[in-house]
Amino acid sequence: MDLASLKNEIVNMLQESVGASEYSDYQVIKDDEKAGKLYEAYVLASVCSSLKNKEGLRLELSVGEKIYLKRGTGPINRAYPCIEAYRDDELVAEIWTDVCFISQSYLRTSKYLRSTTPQYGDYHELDILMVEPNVDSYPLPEQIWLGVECKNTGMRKGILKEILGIRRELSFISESRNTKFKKWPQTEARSNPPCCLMLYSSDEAVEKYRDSGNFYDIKFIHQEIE
Amino acid sequence: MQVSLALNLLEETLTKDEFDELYLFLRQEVSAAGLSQVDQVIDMEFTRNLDGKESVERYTECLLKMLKERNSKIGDSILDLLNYSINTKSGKPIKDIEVLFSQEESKRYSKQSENIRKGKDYSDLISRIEIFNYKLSQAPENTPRGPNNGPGFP
Repeated sequence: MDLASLKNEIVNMLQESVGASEYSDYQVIKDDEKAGKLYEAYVLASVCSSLKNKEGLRLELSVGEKIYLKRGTGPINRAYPCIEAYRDDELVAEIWTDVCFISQSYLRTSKYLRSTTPQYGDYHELDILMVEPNVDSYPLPEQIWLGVECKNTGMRKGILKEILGIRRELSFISESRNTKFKKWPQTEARSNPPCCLMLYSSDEAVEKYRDSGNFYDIKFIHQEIE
Repeated sequence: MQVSLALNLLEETLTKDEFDELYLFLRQEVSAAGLSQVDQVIDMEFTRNLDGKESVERYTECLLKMLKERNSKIGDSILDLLNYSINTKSGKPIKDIEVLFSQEESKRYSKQSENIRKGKDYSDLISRIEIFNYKLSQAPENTPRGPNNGPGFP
């Protein structure tokens, strides 16, 4: 095939295929943000599948028939549904999306030197947070079973620095301790409290950063929407 | 016989400069088709440091991936995956995935959330890019490269 034919192919495929399928209603959330949120939903589905099949938990939406993700971040808001995790018939944990946890830096600062309510850098958001049941407001690190961050962009050094910072504010490096899990994602973590932390990325380059993740017990997972 | 076969093969190959021209053309056309944001992301994050055939191939590969992620049909597949693992109290399936707005946004847009399964259907374009990628793979780059796969010799 020569250059002119390839150019013609490009013109034809783009002109004939784009535009005919415009969605008519005004959408506040544009394509790029939507792709990020869909990736978050996809990772949520993948994590839930592993919790069901590998960990043996039964998962149930707390109310209604819709999964809600958030545009902004904040504390747990029980006005909206979460995913309840049952071991046998006992409610053992809840899964929330786009929720902030209280940082170790806030908790370890004298109450005389910190603000009475956490603000700005005193809490950090994770896309998926599995916590003890019935937590209201911002979960504490010791209430967290599992945190997941989802990145549907090219893997950059900044993302590594971000997740390392999250790990630092979530727990301290320590000898291995038992997690709340029997099999998946891990039964032990080298952190105190022993919260599991995972970074899902749609970019295969995430694998290149795995070593520093291993040291701090952060699982780096390359997963694309299939 | 062997000479004519070699000449035919040469006719079907493109030089590195032609691939560079094709890369620029592809970017222009993708932007003109209303996908300029997608084009920018691909260039900034994936293809900025590539050239020749590799840049065109990586670009179309990323374009394909990003369109699949943005395709309204993908929302249905994700919903199926969620329903595979999560039950509801009513026993009915989960019917949607919505993104909640902040209080300020809710007032501004007069709605609390937006369904992210609605959107553009890129299925036809995705099929066409897959065919294009196949044709592209049949057009090898013939310009000899310098040491360490560096720039082509003049």
